Amino acid sequence: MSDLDELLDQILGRSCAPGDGLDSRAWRHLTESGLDRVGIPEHLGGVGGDLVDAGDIVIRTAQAGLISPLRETLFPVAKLAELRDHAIPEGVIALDDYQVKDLSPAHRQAVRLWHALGVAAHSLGAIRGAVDQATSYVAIRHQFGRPLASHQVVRHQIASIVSELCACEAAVSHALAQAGSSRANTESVALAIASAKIQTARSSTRVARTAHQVHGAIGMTAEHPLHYFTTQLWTLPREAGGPELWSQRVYDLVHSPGQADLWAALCAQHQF
Amino acid sequence: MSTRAELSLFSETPPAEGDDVLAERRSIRAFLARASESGLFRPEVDTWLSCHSPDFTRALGAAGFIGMTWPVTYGGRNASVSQRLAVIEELLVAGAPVAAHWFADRQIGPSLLRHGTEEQRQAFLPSMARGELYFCIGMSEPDSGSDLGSVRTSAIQVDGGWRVNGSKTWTSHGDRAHHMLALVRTGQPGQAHKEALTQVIIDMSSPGVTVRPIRMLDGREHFCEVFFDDIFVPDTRVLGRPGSGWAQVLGELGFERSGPERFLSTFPLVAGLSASGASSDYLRTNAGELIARLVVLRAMTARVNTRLGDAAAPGVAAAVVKDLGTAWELDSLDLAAVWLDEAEHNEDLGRLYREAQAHSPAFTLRGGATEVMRDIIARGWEPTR
Repeated sequence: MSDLDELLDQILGRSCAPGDGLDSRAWRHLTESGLDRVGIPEHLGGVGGDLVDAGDIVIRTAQAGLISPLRETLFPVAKLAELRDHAIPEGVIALDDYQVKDLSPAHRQAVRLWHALGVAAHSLGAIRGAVDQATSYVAIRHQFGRPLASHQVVRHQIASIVSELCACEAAVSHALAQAGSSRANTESVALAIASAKIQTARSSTRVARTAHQVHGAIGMTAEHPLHYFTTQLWTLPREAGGPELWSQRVYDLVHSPGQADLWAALCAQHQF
Repeated sequence: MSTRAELSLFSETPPAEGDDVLAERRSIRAFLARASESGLFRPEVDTWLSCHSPDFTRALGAAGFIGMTWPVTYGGRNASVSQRLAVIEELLVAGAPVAAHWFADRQIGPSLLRHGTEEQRQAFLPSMARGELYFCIGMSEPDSGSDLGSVRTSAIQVDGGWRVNGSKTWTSHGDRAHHMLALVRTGQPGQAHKEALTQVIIDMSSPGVTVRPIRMLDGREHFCEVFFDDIFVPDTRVLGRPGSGWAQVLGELGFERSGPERFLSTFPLVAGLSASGASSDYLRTNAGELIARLVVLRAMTARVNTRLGDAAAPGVAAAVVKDLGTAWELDSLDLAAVWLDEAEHNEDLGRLYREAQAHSPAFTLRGGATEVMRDIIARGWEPTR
């Protein structure tokens, strides 16, 4: 386990409850440890680390149910800082704090991509959280004299969201690796990020639906923590562009004049 | 290993596709271009199960693309699993006829390397790698489909070997295979399948073996029924230990379920349609989403691929890939139907579509039905708290 994972375990394991926000102990510990500036070079106000580390932080905090703007700070805001060569100021920083209108089209596109990547990473974390909730609940809740988890129809519901989760894990880790790779070309980075955005958006909707279904009515109460994950899963697919928009982008990417055919476009990646 | 620990492989990034893999892609593409130009094949769909060409397989073997990860002593060339993945992707994408050697390359070879005796490896691997010796898989039986542990074909110990009686079914190209790796019952009736099953290598030319092709709904025959009437299998053709068949088969299924053939069966059709373009927003949006899912599936397979050599086979991860991959194949046909309406009248693509449609019910059945995959996935998944 990496040092970063250990630190996240300590902070999130000890002091974070689903629904915690910017007034929580967990957030204070995260910022005191500089984790809200990871993946950003020191001369831009960051603490170093790479894109995979930044992704890890966004995923893990979302999985713990922390409500924060880290998916913006560590991705599109960090990208903006890099493109403008301006350090990120102190404090809690979201994308809304910036003007992007004055950017060149290419730079606007880059910020947009990084925004989608941050949202995809956050969605993966929330999906992990919802799947955890659902699998825990079906193990302890009894109906018809046995645990819900022993009913085959329920087991298949669980299997389907576990599969969604696996697809999102691969999609996001692939996108983070591509985006952080110095060898990857612009098109393959865009293809990987767009695919992760589409996958996590579709999975978010399906996982939220199934997690609620297996919980019954208790999952709709304010008291039960499920909603801290599912309400996010309802809105995240529309953040940074919906899956329809990104699907059109994917179509255009693999049909751009530079691509010989579909397979050649899919293989224009140096890393899987 | 727990399911959760196993499935964490999807969040790990495998090593970058290096220059050796890119060189391998160039090399197999050149081979395929030559083979296509010389009339050795024309692109088809679902090639790995249906398209059986001794000529193509022999040429592929001679070029070093069968058993490429195996040691040199057994006819391989010690290539990496990533190099092999690139090659089999390219073969499927090109729609090349690979069914003759597919099982040998994918699972029989690795099983022989893992569990076989030195004599067995020498006897089979080099000729498999040359593309001259074909194996079929003997798992399903008339009464044992998804419930593989219930196989009834029996093997009774006799002097120097075993007497085998029973039958296998849905045996792809059983009529053209030289050998079958069969799962048989060696234990007592009622004994748990974990100890009662054994894998044996059956010479398909043995007296007492009868093979009958099964005519499918499209009029074609690639599945067979195979009957064993008191056939003799020598002790030297038991794979591994008697009674270890179940564990060995589970390992084999990891190879069988996680590869790119679980989502590339219809790709030659999709690629053809993609080349014809799309004018409507509906098609562009849905095609884009389909392609995005393919990007994700490739990333998933690449991640499982690095673990196939591990002692504990990633059986649950393979089940996830198979479930999602075969769903993609079916969805690709739904979209292909729309796409064909828009595409210029194209007889070749229409033919590929009808072929794929005729095969499509098998996508979510063969290698373990989707329902079985979901049971496997749900069984081991435990909450973290």
